[in-house]
Amino acid sequence: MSDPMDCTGFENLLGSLLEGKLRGAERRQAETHLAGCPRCQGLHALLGDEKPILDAPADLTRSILERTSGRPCRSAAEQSCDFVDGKLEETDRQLLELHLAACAECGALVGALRHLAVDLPPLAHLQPDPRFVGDVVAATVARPAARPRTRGLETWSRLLVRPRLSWEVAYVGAMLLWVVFGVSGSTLRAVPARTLQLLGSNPVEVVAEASVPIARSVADLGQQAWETTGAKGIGSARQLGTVVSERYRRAEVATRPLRRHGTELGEAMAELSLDGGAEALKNLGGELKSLLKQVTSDPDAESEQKTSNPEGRRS
Amino acid sequence: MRRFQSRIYAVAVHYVRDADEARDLAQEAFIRIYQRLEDVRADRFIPWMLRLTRNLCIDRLRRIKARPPASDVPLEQGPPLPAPGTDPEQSWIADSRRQLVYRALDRLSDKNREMILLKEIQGLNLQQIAEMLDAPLGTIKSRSNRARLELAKAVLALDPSYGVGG
Repeated sequence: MSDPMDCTGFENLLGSLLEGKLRGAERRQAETHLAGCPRCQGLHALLGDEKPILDAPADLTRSILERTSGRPCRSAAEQSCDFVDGKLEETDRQLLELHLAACAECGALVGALRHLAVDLPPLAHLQPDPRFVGDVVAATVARPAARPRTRGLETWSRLLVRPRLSWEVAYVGAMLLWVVFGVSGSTLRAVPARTLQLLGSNPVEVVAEASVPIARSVADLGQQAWETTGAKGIGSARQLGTVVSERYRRAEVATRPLRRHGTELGEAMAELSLDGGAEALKNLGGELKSLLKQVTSDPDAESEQKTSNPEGRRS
Repeated sequence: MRRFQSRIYAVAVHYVRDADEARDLAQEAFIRIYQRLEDVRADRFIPWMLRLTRNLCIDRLRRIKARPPASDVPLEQGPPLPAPGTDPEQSWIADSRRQLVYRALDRLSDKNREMILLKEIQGLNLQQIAEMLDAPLGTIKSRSNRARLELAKAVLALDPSYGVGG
C-alpha cells in the first residue's frame, strides 16, 4: 500500500492524532504513514504515553546543571568550611547535605575538615626541652630591661618599617608637586616649562645671559656704597685733620709765654731772687691755665662765640 | 613563661621547621617579650606575643635563605608531639593522625600554612589575623577557607581514609 502522507504532514497531524481528534480520511492516512515510518513511530512513542524507544543519557541532567548552575562540587567545596563551622544558612545547609549524600568526594572532604578541626588545635602547644626555661631566665637576668620607648618614637619606627610607606610618600609628594606647580592659579606654574627650556638650551649661553644683569646690579651697588660711605668718610677725615691742625697751631702759640716765663724762673733761681722767682711761678701757672683752656676748647664754638660777641665781652 | 613557652615554641617550629632553630627563636622571643612587657595591654597580649614571634621567625627565615641549609629537619619526621592520653592505642592513633597532619601541612604554600597556624592552630580570630598580616578582613576570610580546603585535600591525598568515620 502506497503512503499517501509524508513525515511533515504526519507531524502536523500528530497532536490531533494523540488527542483522538483526528477522523476520517486524515486519520487513515496518518495511521498508514505511522505504520510504515520508523522515525515517526519513535516520535509518536516519545510524545505518547508509551515508553520511549531511546533512553536519555545517564549524565544528561548533570551536564545540563553544570552548564547552567556550575559544578555542584565546586559550590559545595566553597560552602564546606562554613558547613563544618555551623555557619551556613538553613537552605544552603539542606542543599549541601543532599549533595554530600550523593557525592563521595565532597563527603570525604567535609569529613577531613571535621577531623582537622579536632586534630589541629592541640598542635598549638609543643613542649621544648626542660632546660629551656633555665636558659631564658639566665639570658633575661643577664640583660637589663630596655628603657621603655616613647610612643612617638615607636610610631615613627612602625611607620618606617611599613611596606606601603614609600608608596604613600610618593603619592603625597606627587600631590604636593601638583598643587604647587600644576594648579592654574599658582604663581609657580611656569617653572616646569622654564626648567625644561633651560635644560634644552646651551648652558654657557644661559650663564652668560644671566651674568649680565648680575654684573650691572653689582656695579650699581658698588657705586651706591661709594657714594654713601666713601664720600662721607673722606669729608670726616678732612674735618678731623682741620681740627687737629688748628689745635696744634694754637698750642704752639700758647707755649711761647710758657717758654718765656720758664726762662724768667730759671734766671731768678740763678740769681737767688725770691721775689723774681715767685713772680715767674705765678706767671707760669697763669699761662698753663690759659694754655689748657685753649687746647681743650672747641675752635668752631669759639669762632661762633666771637661772631656773636664781637667786642670780646665775657658772658 | 611556663604558661606560654609551649605556644611560642610551637609557632617557631611551624615557621622554621627545625627544632634547634625553633628553640633559639623561642628563647629570643621571650627575651624580647620581657624587654617590652610594659608596652603591651593585657587584653592584647597573646596576639602581640604571637606577632612578635612570627616577625622573629620571618627574619630568621630570610637569613636562613641567604645561607646554605645546615640541619633542617623535614616535617615528615616531625617535632615532638604532645601526649594526648594515657591509653597507648589511642595515643598511637592520635599521634599517627597528627603526624599525617604535619606531613600535609608541609605540602601547603607558606601563606596557606601560616593561615592554618594562626587561625586553626593558635586560635586567633579573623580580625586579629587581618591586623597582624595588614590585610583586609575579607581577604583573610577567603584565604583561611582556601587554606583549610587545601589542607583537607592534602591529608586525603596522603590517606584517603582520613575523613571517614568518627
